[in-house]
Amino acid sequence: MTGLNVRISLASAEADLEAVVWPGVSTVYCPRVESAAQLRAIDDIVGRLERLRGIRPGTVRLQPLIESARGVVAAGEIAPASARTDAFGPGPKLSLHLDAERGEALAYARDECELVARAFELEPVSTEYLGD
Amino acid sequence: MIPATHAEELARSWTFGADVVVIDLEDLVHDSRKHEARANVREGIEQARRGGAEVFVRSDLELLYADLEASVWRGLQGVILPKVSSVEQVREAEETLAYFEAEHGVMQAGLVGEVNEYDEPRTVENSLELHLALEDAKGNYAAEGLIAASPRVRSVSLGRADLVMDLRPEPSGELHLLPFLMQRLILLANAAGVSPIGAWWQGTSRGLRASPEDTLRAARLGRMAGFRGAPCVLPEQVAALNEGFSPSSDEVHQADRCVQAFERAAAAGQDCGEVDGVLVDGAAAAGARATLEWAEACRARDAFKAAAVERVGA
Repeated sequence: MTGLNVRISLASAEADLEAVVWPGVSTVYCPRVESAAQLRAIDDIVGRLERLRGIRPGTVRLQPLIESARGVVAAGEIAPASARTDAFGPGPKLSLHLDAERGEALAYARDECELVARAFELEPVSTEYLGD
Repeated sequence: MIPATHAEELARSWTFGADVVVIDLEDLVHDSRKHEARANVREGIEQARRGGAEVFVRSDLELLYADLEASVWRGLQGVILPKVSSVEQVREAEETLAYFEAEHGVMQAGLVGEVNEYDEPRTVENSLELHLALEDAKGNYAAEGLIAASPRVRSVSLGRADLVMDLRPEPSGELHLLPFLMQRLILLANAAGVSPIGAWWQGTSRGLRASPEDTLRAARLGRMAGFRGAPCVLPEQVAALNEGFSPSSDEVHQADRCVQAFERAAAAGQDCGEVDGVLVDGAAAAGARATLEWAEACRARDAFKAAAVERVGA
């Protein structure tokens, strides 16, 4: 993966995307995604910005970060929601939002994410320790 | 599980003491020998049933029509669908199975005595059953829907070797996702009312070809996790699986004491009994009764097989 990766905030997704989707951006990390609809909305905005800004369609990739109970339960809908997703897995704030310690306590959530990633032929990745 | 090409092993299979004999037409049979293998199935079913075993055929999903045409004969209990991952595959198997049941006039064999007759009313209970072997991530993820796809599905398992290929093992040879997948499958199987089949194989033991000691250990751990039985490929493993999946005499003794203590307490108007200082409430008594029932079912199955073997000798 070359180019710049950016983590946006879902609370200000549209403004963040307006600011970061420029030629050279390769992956947008989407934290605490909890539904397919959220990811599809981001996909739409990215698609529009690609067209407006002369980026080859489909260049910008989306990596949803599973960081909450709702996210884990909806993993099977989120993983295939966008054709821009290549990699899927838990994000760094899973521990925070589930109020559980990192490591064994999160094994079920992590394993569920990995099964879903492999079921949809995405790369299973964990960014649980990103930023440490 | 016996490759259908091994006619000599099929002929001896009634002596192995297995509850189920699986005649394999899939991975254990090379592509160039499928015809030869299929030709052995009909007689193999008769031979395996002599020892009181239920007989299943493991069919290649891509060769389903030819495999089932050769396999759906009197005495067959059901079909194992390996590497199944979509509802369409289950439905197709169901249709093909139903077609050859009608074509060959076959119904599910009753466990005791003779095969059901064709003119008996056809129901889900007397139709051949399906066993789903979930051997990749897609199939495991979709397990709930796959089990629900046909009322013929009565049991499910994980295919460890193929899962390792799909999910790639750790350098240790252990598959880190396996405990999760086993627990998940046991949960979904129980929720759907079908039997979860498998054993808790350890990384270093060779699964289907493990030593009797490793097999016994895997069976015990598997039973504790909720599996109801497991496959193997060596005749030497059968006794270990039977032992590992049956409650031990200590367990039976302890369960018996729990039930009696609870019943004595109930007769005296108390809510709970006590065994060795441990409270036996209604739930504990129910668990103990389930152990006794399972032990009795194992004993009855062993007695049935022994009687069948005796009839062959006579």
